Amino acid sequence: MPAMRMTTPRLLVLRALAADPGRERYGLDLAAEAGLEPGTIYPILVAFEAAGWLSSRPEEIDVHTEGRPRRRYYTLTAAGATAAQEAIAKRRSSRGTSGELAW
Amino acid sequence: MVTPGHPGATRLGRADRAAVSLLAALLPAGFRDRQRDEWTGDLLALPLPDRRRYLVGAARTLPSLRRAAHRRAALDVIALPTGVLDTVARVLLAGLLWSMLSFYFFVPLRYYAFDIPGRLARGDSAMVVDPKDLWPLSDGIGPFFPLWFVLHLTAWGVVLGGAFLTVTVALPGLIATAISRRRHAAGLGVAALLTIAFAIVSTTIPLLTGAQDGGFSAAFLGLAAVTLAGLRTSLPRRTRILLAVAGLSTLVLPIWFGTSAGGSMLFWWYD
Repeated sequence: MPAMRMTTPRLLVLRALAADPGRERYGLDLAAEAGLEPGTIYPILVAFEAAGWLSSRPEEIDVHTEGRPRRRYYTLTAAGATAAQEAIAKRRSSRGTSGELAW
Repeated sequence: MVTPGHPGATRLGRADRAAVSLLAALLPAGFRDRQRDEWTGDLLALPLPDRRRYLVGAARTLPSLRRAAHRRAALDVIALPTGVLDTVARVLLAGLLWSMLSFYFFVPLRYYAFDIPGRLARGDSAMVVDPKDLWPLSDGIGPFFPLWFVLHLTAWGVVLGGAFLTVTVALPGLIATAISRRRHAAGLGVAALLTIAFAIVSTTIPLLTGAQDGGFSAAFLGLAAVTLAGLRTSLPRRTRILLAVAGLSTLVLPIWFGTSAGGSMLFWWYD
């Protein structure tokens, strides 16, 4: 797996995930937390999953009873948590001490 | 936090459905259903005015999603899609539940409810009433014949195992699953092949070892059912519980059929 290019949207998602690493979140929820446009987060989640930084599982519901498709819940893996800390620290050091991420 | 299931927006409009289908069609086949569900679920949770903006965002990032999906697919080419294993589990649930209920009703329930062991022990070989001839045959076959025939054949399937069990588990299971889940034909076909493969293996092992089936085919399928019930967290809890119960009800058969009491019961059934 080649090294992942760390764009600002990816960092925003990593930061949102690293804020509460054990919590499961679905895509739309996570996009709102990261401050991304809705609908744009999935390439990032799939790339992180392929890198082993995220694990995912489908929601346990009966789709016919609920009347909607299953959500997919994403959780940061141990490798993902380490990668998130390193990426955020690297961005802070390259941008000064504030560490704020913005578009 | 976005609230799932926004009130008043429980169904996607035709235009939104068409847009989601179009976007999903441009994704790799193995990834398409998963992403369609993600998009549909998100759109249902969004207020109507925000849905167009969402779809524009999804379309704008589609090329990178395609690339990521291809990379991910390359990593897990040997992994079966979630839907296939869930379909196998549902097929096993419907097929095993039906088969085991038929077996328990037709064989042990009648054997013990009518005290066949006691009658045989007393030398009452010319039974006034043979339980095998009771309902629905007591009133003549009549309109109950199709039900009796199917239940009877299914009970035989469990006793004989092997190819009989393949038919009695796979066919009703596939029919029930196809009707209730409206699965895609391709997914159902793969599930059918896997189910039949399970059944063939369960038939072949006793044949190769020279042993009679002795309930091992049913137990093999039951073990698969219990395993799927334990591992497939994507299935509803009720489905997993029923699958585990159906599976566990088969695991006693090899032991039971091997005992003298079980052997006598089968001897009566075969007679």
